Amino acid sequence: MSETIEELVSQEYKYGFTTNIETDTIPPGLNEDVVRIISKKKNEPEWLTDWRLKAFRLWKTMEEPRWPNLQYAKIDYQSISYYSAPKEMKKYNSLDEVDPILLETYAKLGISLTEQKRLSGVAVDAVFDSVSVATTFKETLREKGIIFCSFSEAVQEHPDLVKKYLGSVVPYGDNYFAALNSAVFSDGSFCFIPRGVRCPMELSTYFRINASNTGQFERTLIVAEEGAYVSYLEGCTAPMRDENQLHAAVVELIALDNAEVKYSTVQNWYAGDKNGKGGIYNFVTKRGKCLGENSKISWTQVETGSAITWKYPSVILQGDNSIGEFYSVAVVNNRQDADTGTKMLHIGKNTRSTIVSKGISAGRGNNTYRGLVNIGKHATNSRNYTQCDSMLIGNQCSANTFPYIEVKNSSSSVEHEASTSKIGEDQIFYCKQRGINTENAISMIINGFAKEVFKNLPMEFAVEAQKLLGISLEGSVG
Amino acid sequence: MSNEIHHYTAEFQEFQQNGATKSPSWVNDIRSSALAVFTDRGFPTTKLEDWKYTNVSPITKLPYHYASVVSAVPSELVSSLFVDGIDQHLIVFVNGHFSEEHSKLNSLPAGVTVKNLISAYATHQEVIKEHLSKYATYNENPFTALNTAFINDGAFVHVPAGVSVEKPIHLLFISTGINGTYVAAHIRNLIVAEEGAKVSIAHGFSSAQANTNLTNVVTEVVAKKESVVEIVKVQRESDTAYHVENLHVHQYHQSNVHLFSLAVGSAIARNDISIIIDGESTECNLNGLYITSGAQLIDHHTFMHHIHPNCPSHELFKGILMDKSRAVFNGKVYVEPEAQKTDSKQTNRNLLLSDDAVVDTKPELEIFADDVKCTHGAAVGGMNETHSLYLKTRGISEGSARGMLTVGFAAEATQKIVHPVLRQHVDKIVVDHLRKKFGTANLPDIVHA
Amino acid sequence: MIEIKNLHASVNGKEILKGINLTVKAGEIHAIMGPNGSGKSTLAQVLAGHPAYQVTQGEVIFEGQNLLDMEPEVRAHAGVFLAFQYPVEIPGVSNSYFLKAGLNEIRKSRGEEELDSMQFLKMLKEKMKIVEMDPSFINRPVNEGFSGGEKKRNEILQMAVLEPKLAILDETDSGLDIDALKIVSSGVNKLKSPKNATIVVTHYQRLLNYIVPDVVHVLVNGRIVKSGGKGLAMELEANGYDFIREEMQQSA
Repeated sequence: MSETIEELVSQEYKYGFTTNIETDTIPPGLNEDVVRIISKKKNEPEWLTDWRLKAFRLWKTMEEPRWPNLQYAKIDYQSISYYSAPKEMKKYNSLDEVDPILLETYAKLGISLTEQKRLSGVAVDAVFDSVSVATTFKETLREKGIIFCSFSEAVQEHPDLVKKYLGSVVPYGDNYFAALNSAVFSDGSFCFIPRGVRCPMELSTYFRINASNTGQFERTLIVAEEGAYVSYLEGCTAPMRDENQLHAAVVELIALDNAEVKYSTVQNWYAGDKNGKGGIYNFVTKRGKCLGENSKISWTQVETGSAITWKYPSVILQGDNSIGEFYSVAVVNNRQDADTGTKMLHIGKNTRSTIVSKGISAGRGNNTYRGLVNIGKHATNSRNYTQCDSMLIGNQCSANTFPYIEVKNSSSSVEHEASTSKIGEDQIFYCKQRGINTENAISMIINGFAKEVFKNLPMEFAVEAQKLLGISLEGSVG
Repeated sequence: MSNEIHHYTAEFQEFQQNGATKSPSWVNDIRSSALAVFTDRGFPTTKLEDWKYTNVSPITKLPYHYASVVSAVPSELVSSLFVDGIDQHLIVFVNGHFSEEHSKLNSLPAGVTVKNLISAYATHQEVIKEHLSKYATYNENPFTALNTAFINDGAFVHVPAGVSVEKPIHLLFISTGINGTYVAAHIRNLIVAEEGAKVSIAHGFSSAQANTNLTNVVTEVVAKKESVVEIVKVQRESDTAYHVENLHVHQYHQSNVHLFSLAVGSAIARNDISIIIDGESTECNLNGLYITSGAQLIDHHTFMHHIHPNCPSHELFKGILMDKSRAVFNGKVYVEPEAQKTDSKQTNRNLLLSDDAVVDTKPELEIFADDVKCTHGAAVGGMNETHSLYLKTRGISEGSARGMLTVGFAAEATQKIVHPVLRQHVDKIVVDHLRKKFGTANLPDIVHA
Repeated sequence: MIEIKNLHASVNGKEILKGINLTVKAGEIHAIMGPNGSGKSTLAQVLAGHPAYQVTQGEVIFEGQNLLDMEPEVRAHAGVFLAFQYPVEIPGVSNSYFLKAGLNEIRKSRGEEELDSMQFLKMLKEKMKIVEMDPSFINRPVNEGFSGGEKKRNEILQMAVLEPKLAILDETDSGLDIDALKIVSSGVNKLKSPKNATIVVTHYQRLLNYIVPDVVHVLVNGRIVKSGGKGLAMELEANGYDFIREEMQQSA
């Protein structure tokens, strides 16, 4: 039985191809000059160059965190190239001008940048290595006053907005990897939904690491003004390479009064081979701030890729009556290590948060949930509910749960539940007796286990996520 | 070397010359190496994960002296601390020194030994040597290292194979202040239940008066094959005193251990309770109740280590917090790859009765075996409004409802105590304590189903 | 339909079935009765192919095929259904999804077209009437949070949907009150036809008042020691299993 399970969980990585395209890559190494070069290449204003330099100087004094339950080779930050972009990337007026090889790459990844996307109603910003290559539907969105563009473009076109919000949720000195990102980030997505506007389509960014020896350091900033709503999707893939590649992104979300931001990720970076060779080191800082009253920020993530995952999408519940949510499925197999979870910081009154984390460990994978729920003294009548479930497949993996619960007032309540179990032989036998083969039985059981999270994903992402887990989608009856 | 460490090395030299002479030389070797570890590490700070929420600098900054002589305490005080009258086997220590005057050790079943450690070397040196400092290792915990460096006296309990002790054995540790001195007692206890033995122990800590004593205890418990051991700790020291204990239990094949920790005393109390389940089909029940008020901080760190298959462990800790007090609970369940079919449940529930009280709870699971059933839950909240409403609709006042529900909350924990005499003992202490803190006699006695 | 010849089976090296011989023809209902620990449930589990039991001797021919060579799901495809004594809970997976998956696998194996969701739902709702189940059960997770009676009714519903040739009911009456028992047995009776057969495994005669057997077998210590008409069940009810044991001793 276990063989079938392993086959199932360890399907071959489908996105492991490389694209032959000429890139403009600066030599490996990191110093103040490199930071300046990046800033200059992007034609940035002086304040941003200074901001980067401050981040870099701080980063040099910081130490890489050692507390995560992760094992990885020491990262040599001087051997990484901090900027790589498809050559001759100028601004495009239409997609026809984009290098066809690039478009083909995205087509292979299942994301068509063509206007066909209009049919499925998803606007896409694609980040190739470090640079945003195309953003679809810009015009449609502009009519509504929505800004959806690459981060570099936002710096040029909307500097006041960028200056106002950049680093307001994740300050440049927040942590080691956020500081590194702040110094060298190359591109990413910027999204601004004005007051009262409900974004009519899902916004999506597709991240792709292609070049070798490069790191990817993108920066995403999403601002939803009073009463605005946006649902944002993020997908990631990378080629199969023997060496490890570093991905250190920062995502900042801001929700003003009555605004809602829903952020979904299907993370499928290359995880390395069976013996743990290669794969992406994914050190990501994602944080949202419910700045306004009655605002809501919701994170949904499906983590199947990366050799190393270090990621805690969090919500600062500052506005009264604000809501934070975190739904996560994390799968580790072979030699993957994931240390992931969330932080819910309750500051405002009547704030509510929900955490649902489902960890699946297989092979020699090591899966850790690490979460913090902090209910401040003034966050009266606040609520948190946390559920952390782990499933183990095989006897060489592990599942760990490290929740931190800090409560400082008596009118609030926090409930945390966690369980660890395996796929039961009796469950499989029962399914088989009803005519379902082992593989499908396991799929069904895993799917049932992770269902609470999948149901929070937008439809097209849910399909992708379930496929990723080797799970056939439950029929419309389900 | 920091001042703190320097203070203790000087203390140690004095101790070597005066207090340590009554022990065999091999004990001295253990002391020296423990001191070396302590001087190397120093006291823990909140930068260490294990001490993140508990700042011990109020303890470490004071120049504590080990108590070199036994002090007198009144008999009335001792008898007020008895378990269920005087029908018990009682051994009393004052500031860590054996008090023959107050101990009552007659009528023990044949072969059972309850002595102070110093006099037990003469009769049980081999048993002591086999177990002392073998379980509560001093490499991890600086307070344990300090205790080990100052190993002198404490309780020694030995129950031979197949012997059952029906009446509880009461180990009573009383701290008493000495004017002008910060008194420390480094108490070292060893409890050994041989194969098939059965014993229940009350493990009591009280203060003779309001004092600032430091009671730093290490208790090692060995539960051999098929033994049944219950230990009920009652810590009700003065709320200006400091209390640290590392209780370490090593369980073998098919033994059954019940532990209960009641903590209502001390300004800062830190309890490390570790259980190594070293045998198949072995059961451990670890439960506790803490009630904090004023500016108290009570910290429980528990560690349940599953090594072998088919072992159930159950853990329930409940906390009641008042005023500006704080409570910390850190429960770790660790399941080794070989420990298949582990059935482990851990629950921590906290009742906050004040907006100024703070709870930090961290229920952790580390699982390396796939065929296990492990769950944990933690909850923090105020009084349940629905329950409270139900009582009120029956005509009960707000205040009484609060009191009754608090007693009920506590009773859910104390009902886990197996020995009926010890359960009554704890129930009474809990309700008396709550009556004092609520400022009313109008609280119900605990009745169990 | 099924022919069991000299079947021996053990679990963890301990022999439970010590030579079972039993033939069931289409259209028949056979009851297997016996005291606790006699091997009744083991027989049911072995026929369904539970991996914990090792068949050490004997053979089972089902519709001309060697049943023991088949995987459990292949047996289900061939038409063997076991109503579990303790139905398993599958959190997060809905009843309808679970059943549709099983049914379509079975249909596929028979070369029949798979049912789409609409067709399936329509059929399921019809079948639910047989066991008087509330339609809300369609979307509840399989057996999770079900009462004992609901779980047993759900077993019979599954049987109605999957339309097996041979249904084995393992202690389906245990834990049922009289009303639930009536519903469950009337469900079984409605599903009876000249083309299928049923083996009812039970400790008590009670169920056989509602599901009337053609043949009753008494299983003691891993062997069928007595077979007879439905009167045998009444005899067992009146005299208990001891009289069988006494008879055996006398004949020995």
